[in-house]
Amino acid sequence: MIGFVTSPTTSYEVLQGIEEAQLSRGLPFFWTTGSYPIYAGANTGQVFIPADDELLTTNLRQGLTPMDFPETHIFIKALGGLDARVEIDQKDIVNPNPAN
Amino acid sequence: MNYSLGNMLSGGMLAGLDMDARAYIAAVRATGVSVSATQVTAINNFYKNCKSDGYYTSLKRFFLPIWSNASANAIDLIGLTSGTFVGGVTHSSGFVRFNGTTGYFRDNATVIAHGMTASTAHAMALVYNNPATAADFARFYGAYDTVDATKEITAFSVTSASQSQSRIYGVIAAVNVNSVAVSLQEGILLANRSSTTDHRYKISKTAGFFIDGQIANLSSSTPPAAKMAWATRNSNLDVPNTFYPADYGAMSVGISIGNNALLNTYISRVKTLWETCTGLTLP
Repeated sequence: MIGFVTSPTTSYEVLQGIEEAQLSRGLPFFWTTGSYPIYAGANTGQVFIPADDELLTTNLRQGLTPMDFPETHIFIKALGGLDARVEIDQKDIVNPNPAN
Repeated sequence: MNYSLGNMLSGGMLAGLDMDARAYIAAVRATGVSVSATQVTAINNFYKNCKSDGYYTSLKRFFLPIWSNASANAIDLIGLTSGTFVGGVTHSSGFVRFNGTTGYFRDNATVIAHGMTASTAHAMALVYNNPATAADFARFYGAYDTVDATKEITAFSVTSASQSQSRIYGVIAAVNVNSVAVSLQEGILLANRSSTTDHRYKISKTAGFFIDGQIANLSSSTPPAAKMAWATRNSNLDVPNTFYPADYGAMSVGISIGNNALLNTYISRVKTLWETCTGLTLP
């Protein structure tokens, strides 16, 4: 999985920014990247924000994708730019002790 | 001016349609989506049939994610509110594909806010394709409480045992419904609770019901203070886990649809709506 690894605090701010970008345009909050706690591996305790190319080019509405919104470029820059993305094992974000 | 009926419908003239159908179609078109005359008719029929069948007001949220864009797919047919797509979701023509690791869809109201109680609840997912690569206990849909395990409404696969299970605020030991291969757990999944003791779970396919069971669920627990999610389960803390990799074509949540006959009628209405709108066939 490709995306950004960051702190829970930064992740919260990024997700708030994505939500606000939609609400400020009079739209409902219909799309976000989400963020996922990292339970294993070198980044344990951080969070993962998925940001592969497919996610960043999701068809949102009127033919627009997230990359057509300036807020997306702001949060990508805040996370270190596209080159700062890393690939992590999906097992790293699986809660090892979920209740069945 | 002399318009054919087809031109009138596909060209945006929606006079004569059910008022709610008209509003939904207009909202979908506002996202840049083209809605064909065939789709308009199918959507209109769905609204009218649900109202005449008597369970329209039981549907607190209904989503039809067939439009190839996130905004249109997130529109609730009932109140024109919006859910939220999160993470790895591909918006295809006819369905959305959840990647099984980060992708899910979240309603933006709690099941409690929908009026769901220990005696009235339903949840539905139209699963067009289930690739059978889900982890044990992966959820088709769900809302749960992180502390009290009896406060969960969900359907899921037990991959290791080839079982499909449903819980509506149920204790874990009381929820086995049927043994069925994971790859066959597709079609319309509908769980309904019409009283504190009547909990039914169905998986309906084109060939008929694959699971059609009544569960003696005596739990009188209360619903979780969580928002319903599909392709995972969402907690009262808004943290999802147990993701399902599958393709979904419709979802609903709300209070009880009604008796067993009405459940079957509702399933047939959803099937007709989705198949007519997409040109696809339910597995």
